Amino acid sequence: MEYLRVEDLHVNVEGKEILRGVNLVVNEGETLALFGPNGHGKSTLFLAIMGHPSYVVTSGKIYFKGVDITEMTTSERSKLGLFLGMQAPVEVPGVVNSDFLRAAVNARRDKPISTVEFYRKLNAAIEEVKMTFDLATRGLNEGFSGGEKKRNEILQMVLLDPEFIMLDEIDSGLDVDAITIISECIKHEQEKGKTLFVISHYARLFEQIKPTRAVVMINGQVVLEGGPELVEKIDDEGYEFIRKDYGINIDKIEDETPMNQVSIGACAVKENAK
Amino acid sequence: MPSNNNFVFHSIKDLSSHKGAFNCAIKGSNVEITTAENLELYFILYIDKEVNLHVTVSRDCVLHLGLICKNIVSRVSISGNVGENGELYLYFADFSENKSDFTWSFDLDGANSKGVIKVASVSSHKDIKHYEILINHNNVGTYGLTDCYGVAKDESTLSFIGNGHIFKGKKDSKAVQNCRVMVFDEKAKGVVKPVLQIDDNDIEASHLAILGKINPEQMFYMTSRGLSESIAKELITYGYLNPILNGFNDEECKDNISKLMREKMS
Repeated sequence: MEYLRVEDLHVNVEGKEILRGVNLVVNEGETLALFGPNGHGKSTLFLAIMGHPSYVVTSGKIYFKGVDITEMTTSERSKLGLFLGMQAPVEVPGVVNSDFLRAAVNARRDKPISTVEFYRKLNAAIEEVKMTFDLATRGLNEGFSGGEKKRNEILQMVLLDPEFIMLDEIDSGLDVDAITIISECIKHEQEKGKTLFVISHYARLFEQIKPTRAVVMINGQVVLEGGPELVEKIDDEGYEFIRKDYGINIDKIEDETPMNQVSIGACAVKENAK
Repeated sequence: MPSNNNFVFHSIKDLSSHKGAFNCAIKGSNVEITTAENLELYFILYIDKEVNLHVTVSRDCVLHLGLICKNIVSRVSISGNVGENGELYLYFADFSENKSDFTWSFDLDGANSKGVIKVASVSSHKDIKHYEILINHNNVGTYGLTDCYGVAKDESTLSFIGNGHIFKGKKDSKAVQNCRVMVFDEKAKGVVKPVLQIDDNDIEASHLAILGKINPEQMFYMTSRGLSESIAKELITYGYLNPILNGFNDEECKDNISKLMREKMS
């Protein structure tokens, strides 16, 4: 069964077109690896699928299990079964991690989960990602190391039990042992028949989770698809072979972020002492 | 325990061991609290109408005063005097409605006295809320902190004007003024103005003003886990105001505050 279908998707971010007609299908139970040079639209694709309001679909469609989700809110997409493990999870100071997780669990239920059942599930999930319980009492991603933030993403994946899981560079910033731990969690989801769509630049993660297929995005489009052998080829040769063998020019992406306008002024005035 | 129709006094410490620990006089909308010396007291007051509150913290006394403001109050005036080595910690959780003026003035009269004023305020619909908080450093070694956190939503206006005044000769004093407002909606308005009036050189002073919108990345993160926008905003608001709300050292009180916040955010 088709789980995700993306049809001729064009997406703008801050007025600039990043996705220039993406066509893609992910089938049920697949683990699809997504490759491409930095700045060519991989994270943009994930964020657009998840409905980030800053990522504006100018044309094209996104279907999940045959349902058009292009106009749905982010929250609706999540409740349908989509999950995004983010590249740089944001901190939300003051929001206790367990309060947030409980609200997320309850968002999917008709009746709120009982305290006992919630903490039982939470404990099991924390054990699976091999973290300590104090994680639950800390602020949401607040003061977390890079590795802890990524493991908190996997914790949420385990707890919320989504059907379609997108992971954006979940291995970046992790040491070897941490990669093994999250790989085990991912493999557990694969054994349950979940569908995964994974971005990573490194072979180490893919050696453990063994994707069934791979696609390459360049210049905001999917330009190449292949089996697991494509993962090896990219790891060995990089993306240069795409230019040579397929005649596809790889645009250089310049950082166009403008310097902030800064005003330095005085906020103190000396007056004669009374 | 004193109580009347307008205010509910609630002490979270057993007063039986502090006989004569405080004196409370209520006349109409005027309330005066005077503490005895050399002890630590906790009070929580619910305010649901106009009030003039005066607090006298005697020497070597530490007073923790939690005030929860709800309904239509129009005006809350608070003033205080703090004696030598005395400490006043005032936590104000504001869920009032309509137009409200909060004009407060505290005098750190005794050497090494301390005044810490912390405000968490939520304005919604067409509320107009205006805070002016003044701390006068009238002696040496005094410490004054005003820490205001506000959320303005819908078409409301929330303004914080803080003023820390260190007079000449009041050496080794420290004045800190922090004002923050998070604005949720296009038509909501926030004003932050932390002012320091410094008449001496051997002192410390700092101020902070933050005015901004709700972080869209935080909203996206939370809604990407299935939370509705309203629940995400509620959690973010509670987290934002948490540094102040933690000062209410009573579980029943915290539950009441959560309920009031949910009502205000809906």
